[in-house]
Amino acid sequence: MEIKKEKINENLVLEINGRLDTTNYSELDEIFAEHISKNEINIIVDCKNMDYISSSGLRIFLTALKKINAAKGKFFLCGLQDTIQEIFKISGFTSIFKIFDNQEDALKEIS
Amino acid sequence: MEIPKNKILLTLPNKLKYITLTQSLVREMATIMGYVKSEILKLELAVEEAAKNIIEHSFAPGEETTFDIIIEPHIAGIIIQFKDKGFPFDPTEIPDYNPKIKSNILEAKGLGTFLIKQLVDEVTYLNLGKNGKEIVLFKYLNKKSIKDIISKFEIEKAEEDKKTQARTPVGFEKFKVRRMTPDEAIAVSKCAYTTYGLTYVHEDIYFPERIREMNIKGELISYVAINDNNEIMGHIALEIEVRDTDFPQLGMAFVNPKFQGHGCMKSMNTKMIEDAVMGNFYGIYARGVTTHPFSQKVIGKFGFQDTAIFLSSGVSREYKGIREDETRRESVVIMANYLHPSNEMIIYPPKEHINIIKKVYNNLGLNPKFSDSIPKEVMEKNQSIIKVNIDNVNHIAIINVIEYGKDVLYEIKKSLNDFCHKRYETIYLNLKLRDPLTAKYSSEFEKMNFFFSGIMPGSDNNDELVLQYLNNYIADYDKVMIDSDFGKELKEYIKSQDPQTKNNLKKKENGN
Repeated sequence: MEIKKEKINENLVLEINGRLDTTNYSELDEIFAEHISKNEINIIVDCKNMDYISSSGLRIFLTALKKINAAKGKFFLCGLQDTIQEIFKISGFTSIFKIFDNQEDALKEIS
Repeated sequence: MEIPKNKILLTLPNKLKYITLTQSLVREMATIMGYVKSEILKLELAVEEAAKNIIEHSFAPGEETTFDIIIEPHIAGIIIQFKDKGFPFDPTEIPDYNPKIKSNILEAKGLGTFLIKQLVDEVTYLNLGKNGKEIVLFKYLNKKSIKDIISKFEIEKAEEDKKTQARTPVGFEKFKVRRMTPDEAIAVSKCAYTTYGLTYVHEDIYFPERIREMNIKGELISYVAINDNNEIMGHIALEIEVRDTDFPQLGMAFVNPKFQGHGCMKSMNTKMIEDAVMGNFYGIYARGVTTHPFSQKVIGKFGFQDTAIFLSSGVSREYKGIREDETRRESVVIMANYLHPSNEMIIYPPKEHINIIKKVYNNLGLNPKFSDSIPKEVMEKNQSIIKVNIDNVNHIAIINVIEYGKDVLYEIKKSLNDFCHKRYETIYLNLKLRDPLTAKYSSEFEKMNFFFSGIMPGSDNNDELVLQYLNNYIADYDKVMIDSDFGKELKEYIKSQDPQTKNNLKKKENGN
């Protein structure tokens, strides 16, 4: 997995490439923890190049969402591939995350 | 460990970082087998969750060991088996995850196991006592279904024929019955589609490649009735099941409506049974639907006798042309025909059901030796061996007691509570009749509100007593249509054993 970080209009945009699973979820966890601790709490995760997610990855998103909600920030996901979208749907996660088709739409909403 | 040639064994250290090795192997195998990308992802995900559960929950902290993963390509799909010798697994301790409940999502407890069950078609848990435990995943390979192959013209023609009830005049069609050849699999699937649409209970019939390959490998023995124009008029098959390869199930029996009334079904049944006798099968059994008695009537003509009624065993299917309004759960009657019965059968039935069990065997023309005392040499082990099959399509769970241990009541009670909590509609408990401890424990299971269902036939003294538990489902016995007189008696007996009936009787007696 590769994670690209970018600041756009004071919002943090993370782009995940590859697989988010049991073996590497802690990398993403550390990035979330680092930015939330600096009160950078408007975060968009662009998943257009993420082609696999397991329950470990889902839990990391969940943990980040809870922390950011508690800090009154915004946590959006965008660009989910069809198969990933299906996993979110099966898990019920589509009901608690704000998910956008693409980064542009997410950026419009977050600002 | 001896692994058959068509299986792959991977022994993996109990470290999370090695899970990707298993996934790579499963991915490559699934690709070779022809799974599409989205299905491969689901398989990989189920594999990760299962392996992660083992690594995180099966071993003591810091323990360095290995566990085995066996990958088996099968005609109908892929089987992935996880075997470890760690702590016993208790499926009932996994929290129930419901994606419709927000608090469940936010806690995410049990999410991994929930995903496994959603992403594969079958999950089986098996505790092997001191030999560890197994989790087996199965996922169907959905190659092209007949609905992707059949032309629009053929669909329209079949629908038109059905509307106009177009039938060839009786006596006009000459036909012969023989084994299906592999290249006739497509025509058989088309015939099934023409007869039932896509509502037939056994979905393999709609996948010509599965039918072809299962026949080649001897997992299905198909017979067809074929006319002079080489049209498939009907089909019937013996399904060789893993549970008992010597006592196959009669199934996939249908005749194109256009050719009904010509005696195809009778000829196919006769030929199949003749071959089964020659093939030294112990017997054949069938699952007759109870929405209507027609198929039971046909099967009954070939020496099949009723042995059990499985109430609420599946979601109702709409049989085209036969009571299409039905939406309730389906019950089935088990019908058996023992072709080569053993004269040395010794069974240990519970004494409270001995009369009805004797009647079942009398009706079958069998005379097993009934024993009511537990031999002194029978020793109970500490740990039971219990196999659990979960069918998420029909929302049923099947608990098989392979070997009784001192913990059997505790284990069954725990599994039952779990399945009830998870809203499985019916829970079946299969008990070996050759095991003397069945006589001892059956009444204890009935105190948990399991009740008599009947006898599941098996080869070589492998018959099972089946008890059933209806989870908040009230059986409407009037709608369970049974054809034979004995079957009707069996139904009345089952009804009398149903805790619901007993409660109603008590209320009546108390004047409430």
